Amino acid sequence: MGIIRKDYKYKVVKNFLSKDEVNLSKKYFIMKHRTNSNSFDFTQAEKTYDSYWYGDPLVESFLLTKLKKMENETGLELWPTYGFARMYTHLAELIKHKDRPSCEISVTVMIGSSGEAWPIYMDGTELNLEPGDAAIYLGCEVEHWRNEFLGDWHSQFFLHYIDKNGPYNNLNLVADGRKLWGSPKNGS
Amino acid sequence: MFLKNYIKEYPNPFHLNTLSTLIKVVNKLPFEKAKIGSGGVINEKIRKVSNYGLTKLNKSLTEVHWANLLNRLITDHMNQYLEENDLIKYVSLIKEINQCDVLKYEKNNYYTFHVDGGNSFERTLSAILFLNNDYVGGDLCFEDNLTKEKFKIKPKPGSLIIWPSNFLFPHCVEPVQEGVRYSIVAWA
Repeated sequence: MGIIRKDYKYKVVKNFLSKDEVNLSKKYFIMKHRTNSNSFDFTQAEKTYDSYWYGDPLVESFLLTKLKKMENETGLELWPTYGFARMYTHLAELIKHKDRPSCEISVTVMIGSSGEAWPIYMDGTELNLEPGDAAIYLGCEVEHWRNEFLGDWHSQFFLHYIDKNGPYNNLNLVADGRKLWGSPKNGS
Repeated sequence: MFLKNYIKEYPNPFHLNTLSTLIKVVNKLPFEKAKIGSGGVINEKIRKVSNYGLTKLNKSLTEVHWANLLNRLITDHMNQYLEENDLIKYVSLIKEINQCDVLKYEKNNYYTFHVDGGNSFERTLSAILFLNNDYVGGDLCFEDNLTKEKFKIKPKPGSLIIWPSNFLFPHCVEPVQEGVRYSIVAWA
């Protein structure tokens, strides 16, 4: 058992990203959003069909380069599964949910916003993140949600891992079953 | 009226939750008096309505999102239209729409008979997405140039109408008698 289960189920990590990493990510996702023609979330009863990017190469580069930091923060040996990013817009909402096994150990990273606070709730606790801050949490155990967003935009990315010695230590979950990092779910 | 067969209705390209969100976003837009022609002049004897352009260049990233999403959905339906009508042999598939406006017809607003394509505008197909129907008047009315037969379309919230932009399809928006009529129009 790592410190994540022993000492906490979720926690905020200030400055998870450096200022340069935040600036780069913010510019990148605003460009991705402006030029988006195909990546909309039609998969759930979404109110906004917001832009999202599964397996984005930049996010999956963070997935791999932040592995050691995540192992230190959680006290676990981890296998990376996938990275994901989303640009939330006015009236977006994140319904209360838990994640799938590939998200056993997750971190949600705040990239930037139009300035309005938009807390995430984890097991009922309100967490407010500044750009570069992150919240690490047990994705399959901690219920998490956000209320309706009243600002213009809010950019967030997510890194997902599994515990190498945990209940989901299935090699098929490494890279979420894909052959290549930075590729779509059904890609090669 | 065989031309009527080229005016096609696609019900509900959006989930109703998403249509409701779009209406809330549209309600907050800073509308301006709509112009006519390539010179962009206001002539309320011909066209009395307010509009707002949605483009991927807008400052608001929420507006950018809806511009991109509407572009995707309307382009897909326009291509479906071309295939269903066996027009691919004459017209190549559409890559993206070239303009997307939100229109707000208030009481006594209208648009007299006109065509969308011509010397000033290279447009192959026109589209209108009806957002609401809680108003009186404001019917979309087509006129067959040869027979002078008229054909009215009663707006159904969420339905998308597509027709050729050329001179064979003059159409108007009849005066709104009560309430406010919202719609999205696009051309490609």
